[in-house]
Amino acid sequence: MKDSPYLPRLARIEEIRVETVGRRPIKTFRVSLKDGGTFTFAPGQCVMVSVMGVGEAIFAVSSPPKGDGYIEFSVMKLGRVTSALHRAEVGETLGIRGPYGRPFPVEEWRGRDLLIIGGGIGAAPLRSLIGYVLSHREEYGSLTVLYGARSSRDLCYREEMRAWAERNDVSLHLTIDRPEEGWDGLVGMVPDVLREMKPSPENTVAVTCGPPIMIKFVMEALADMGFPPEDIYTTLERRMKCGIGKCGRCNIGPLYVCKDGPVFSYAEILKVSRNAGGGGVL
Amino acid sequence: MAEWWFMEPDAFHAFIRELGERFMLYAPARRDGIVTFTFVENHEDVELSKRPFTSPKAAFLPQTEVLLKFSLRGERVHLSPAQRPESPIAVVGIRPCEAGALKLLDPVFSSPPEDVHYTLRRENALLVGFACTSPERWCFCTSLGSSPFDEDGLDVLLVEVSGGYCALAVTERGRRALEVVRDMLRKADEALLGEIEERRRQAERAMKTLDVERFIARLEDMGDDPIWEEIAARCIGCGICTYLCPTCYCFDIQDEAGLTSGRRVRVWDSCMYPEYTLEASGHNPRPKRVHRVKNRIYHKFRWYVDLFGLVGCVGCGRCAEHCPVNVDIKEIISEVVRR
Ligand SMILES: Cc1cc2nc3c(=O)[nH]c(=O)nc-3n(C[C@H](O)[C@H](O)[C@H](O)COP(=O)(O)OP(=O)(O)OC[C@H]3O[C@@H](n4cnc5c(N)ncnc54)[C@H](O)[C@@H]3O)c2cc1C
Ligand code: SF4
Ligand code: SF4
Ligand code: FES
Repeated sequence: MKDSPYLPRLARIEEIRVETVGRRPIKTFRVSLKDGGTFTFAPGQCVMVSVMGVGEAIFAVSSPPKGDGYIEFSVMKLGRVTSALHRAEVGETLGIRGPYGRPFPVEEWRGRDLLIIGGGIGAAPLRSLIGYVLSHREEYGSLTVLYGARSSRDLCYREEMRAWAERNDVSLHLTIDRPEEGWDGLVGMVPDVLREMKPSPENTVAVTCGPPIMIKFVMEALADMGFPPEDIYTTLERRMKCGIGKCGRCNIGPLYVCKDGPVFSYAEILKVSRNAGGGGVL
Repeated sequence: MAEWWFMEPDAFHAFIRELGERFMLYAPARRDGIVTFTFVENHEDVELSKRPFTSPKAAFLPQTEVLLKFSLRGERVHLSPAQRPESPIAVVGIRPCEAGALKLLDPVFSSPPEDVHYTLRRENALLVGFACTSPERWCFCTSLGSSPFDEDGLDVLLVEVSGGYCALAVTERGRRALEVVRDMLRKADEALLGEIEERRRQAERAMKTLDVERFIARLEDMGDDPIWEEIAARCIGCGICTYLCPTCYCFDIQDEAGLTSGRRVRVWDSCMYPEYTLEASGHNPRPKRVHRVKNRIYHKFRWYVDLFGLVGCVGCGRCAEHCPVNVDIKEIISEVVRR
């Protein structure tokens, strides 16, 4: 008998790390499957996580694919499910469905320089991507990362960022919106900092994820600087329930973000923008 | 040539009684004064004369259904999948357009990953259709490739004639279903065949014809036309059009829980509500009513075509019939074509 696509697998919380604190705190969860199986996914894909009795919410996998029994995802506390996750403790059981969606086309990008631009919790899928690239380092050209948040306290993955900063094959730029005592990184909104950086579009793929407004301005900035729309990628967010192209809500025109995305090129976004039936794609 | 069989009202009742033995009967019946599609225990409740208020989509996509149950004991969580239907469903009195609507839902739910909750009910179902001898003034199915006597998608087609019904076995399943009451059927004679033909012609003549093909083509560059604002200015966003539409299928998934156990349920939802797309961050990709009105029309008339090569409307007219502010799909189509 065929199984319901809505039936999650059970997972155990192995580790919880506090990324940021404040009004909208972020925690990263490391989980393992209780059935002993492994997670097969690619950077950019998502998982539908459930807290039984509260509900489901979708998150980008934030760890790189390792083929082992673990995955990580990072959760910003916003509503019912995300708050329940923030109350959860190591050892508790969650439900996991997926992975879902179209990942970053990392194989197509072989041999290219990569420019990765993130904001806030948008760093989650990018962390998976960066981890992947670092473990296939020889397949790619230069790797530049620009990551920003409101304040230094709102930056995620600070341990890893520190490690990346020390590598000579990663060029890391951190920025915060307003100056702070003791901050030695950049100051300014991500799209503005990007314009000042003036990255070359030459043989480069740009990937961005963050709040919708940031994505919009970053993509426009990249296009202004001569990046062709086919070489600009982002991952989009829509409210999701099923995650598998059935419930209808995550559409942008004929595309369902849950199954045709969440990764899209700017070229695809421009194409679907006409008549997308909404207040714009972003 | 397909064969029509005549059945007197007694034979018809025997037929649905027999169906009730092997199937869960889903048919029009009077509930709280309104004829609506519902599961019926007693075959005598079946009332075919009036087109039901609701469409029969709920037989396959219930308004509320349990997807799974869970129990919680401290840190131990146990999941149990939803119950499988015990016996197959027979929909009696489904109209040709509504059978057409199921064929539009099929590709959504059967495309991978298969939604077994829908497909299991659907695969084993028997559809006993009822031809529309007097179409409603809202109907325009002939503009969408169907017709009031369309057999497509049905197992049996019934036509009301003087003195009873005529039945046509459309599929082998349908033939076997009729076989059970074979003794009570007689082959329709020339006079009856003539009557069926005449009724068919009358019904088709009563139907208004719209240029849907041109409508679909015009939508390509109508995205910014003021017509959507004009419709949105009237629409109150009640969602009735989507709940009653036989081809709308949007749903929500929610948990209902006590202290130690609970269930995950699927419930109908509507793209006409702002909450439908409101993200937890506060961002909403379709913040205005005009976006939602447009999304409903474009989904049915363009994106369904892009996705499945099918138009996502069957012309039943229910959305217009029940809209509290008279937003009429037929008017939208003719107005867009005219502009
Ligand atoms: C592809 C994709 C990837 C994502 N990746 C991540 C990720 O990696 N990390 C992450 O943190 N998030 C991510 N998200 C977002 C995440 O899915 C949502 O934050 C999450 O679903 C919120 O669930 P919730 O149950 O906590 O919120 P809910 O409680 O379900 O809130 C949901 C909706 O209800 C509304 N709502 C709640 N309360 C009220 C109220 N009182 N009045 C009116 N409206 C209200 C909210 O505005 C919201 O629209 C991603 C989303 C997508 C689509
Ligand atoms: S006429 Fe209206 S209710 Fe009927 S199928 Fe078309 S959109 Fe749905
Ligand atoms: S039934 Fe009419 S008023 Fe209600 S949402 Fe539909 S179009 Fe708007
Ligand atoms: S989340 Fe249901 S269709 Fe995409």
